[in-house]
Amino acid sequence: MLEQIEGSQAAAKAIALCRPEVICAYPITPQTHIVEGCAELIRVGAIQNCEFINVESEFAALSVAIGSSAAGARTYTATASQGLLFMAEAVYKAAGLGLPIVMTIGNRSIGAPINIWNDHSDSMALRDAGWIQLHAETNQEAADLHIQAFKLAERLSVPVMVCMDGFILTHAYERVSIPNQAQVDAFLPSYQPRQVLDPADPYTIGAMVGPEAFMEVRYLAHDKLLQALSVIPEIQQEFKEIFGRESGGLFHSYRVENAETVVVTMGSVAGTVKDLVDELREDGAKVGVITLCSYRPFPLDGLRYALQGASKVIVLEKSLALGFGGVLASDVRMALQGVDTHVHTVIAGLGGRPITRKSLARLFARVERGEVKDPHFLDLDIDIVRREIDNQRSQITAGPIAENILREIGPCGPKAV
Amino acid sequence: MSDMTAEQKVKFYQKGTFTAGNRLVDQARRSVQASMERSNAITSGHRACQGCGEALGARYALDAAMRATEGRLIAVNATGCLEVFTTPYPETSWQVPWIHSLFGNAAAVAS
Repeated sequence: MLEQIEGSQAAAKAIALCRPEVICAYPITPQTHIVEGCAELIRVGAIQNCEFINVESEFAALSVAIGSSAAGARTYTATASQGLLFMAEAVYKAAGLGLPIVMTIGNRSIGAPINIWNDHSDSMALRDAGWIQLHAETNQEAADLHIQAFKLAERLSVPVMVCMDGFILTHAYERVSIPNQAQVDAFLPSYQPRQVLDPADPYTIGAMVGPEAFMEVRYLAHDKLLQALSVIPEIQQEFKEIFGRESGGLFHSYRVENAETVVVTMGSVAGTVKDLVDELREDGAKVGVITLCSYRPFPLDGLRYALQGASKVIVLEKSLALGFGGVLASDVRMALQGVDTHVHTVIAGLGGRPITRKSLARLFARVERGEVKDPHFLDLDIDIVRREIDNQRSQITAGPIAENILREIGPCGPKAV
Repeated sequence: MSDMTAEQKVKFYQKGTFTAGNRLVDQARRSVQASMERSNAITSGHRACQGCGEALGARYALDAAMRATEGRLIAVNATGCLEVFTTPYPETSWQVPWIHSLFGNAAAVAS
């Protein structure tokens, strides 16, 4: 049923339809509305047979989820940013134990400096932990991906992160089609755990594995994620058959046929890029955009195939590897090994700075003219940055960068983009 | 010059005492820890040092809990000696369901 609904609430309703048995989460902006939504649905009886457990921290949240999932319950939690880092060792643990937990990440930047707005640094920080990472482009896809996530997690025995851009998706009201219970029941069977903590049939879960076996265990975990590259499209197709729409999968291609320049990106910014692509196509430019949905596993072969024919690739990402450069851009370059395609790294939107169509249009024009250096930071205030760098050359500075800027330049008002 | 020698007579104190688990006394005077029906939630084969107090204490606590719960017990174990010496992959000395948590989250995982 179509509803004008906040992204968080749409996610909560989708999760409720999946009949979770345990929900345990600690609040953190921008995920709070999701968990509050779930709690309210349990309170009014919209979710049956589900225990909501209040926990004292994010580390506790995922720990409770681990215990719950290991005991055979379908388990859900959510976090973001600092919370994800706080539960970091449990994130690796859940993957290592093969527990099919589904966790929403309301993507938010990581401090210092503390910042509550959207970028992808949080999920990027845990990209190698062994979880499947799916990125939603819209609130519809966010709701749908949660439903697909439980099926995917339980089929493969791998935990799944569903990433939604904080505020931009979580707090935005959009038209979302919320499925009905019968559809979800037809798509998602009940959880049948294969190995469970049960006094009637005791198992030891989590033994200490030494050098003689650890590499094999890790290899198999890697192989399992590579298997996911086939299972994700299968589940996308199964979803389409029951719910009647395209959602999820490895990536979405938009007007990529005969494109000379292809933008590769992830998450909600794809909407803005698509609008720009339509504009540019009107003017005769041959441009398209690929929006990655599955970041882990990373579809190296699929992307390489989809990008053939493009002479220029612009990777637009909301992440930055300090001291190195683009994160997504490096992955894309790996997919294009040996192929003669120019890849541009564009870092944008860090800490929630808006990415506007106007700015992107200006950037793409400059890329066409060959004027853009790599990596490019979209809408960076060059003056402030140059002054601070010059200042660092003339004296030894220490301490937080943000505070240092103010010391030299004085307080600045908010900049209009 | 010292009177001390390297040899000392080894005295066996066990026989005839009420040391918990003592099976050298007659049936009537044995404690519950000596019972053949003891659940041995942690059984032999673990890699603890000889005489380890933790192994002994854990066995007592667990077997008491097994009696209290009539065998419906799941163990959650934080990282530490106990976890390491009882579960050297691919072996385990646990006869009850058991999961390794991490550090400081055993209670949370157990929730």
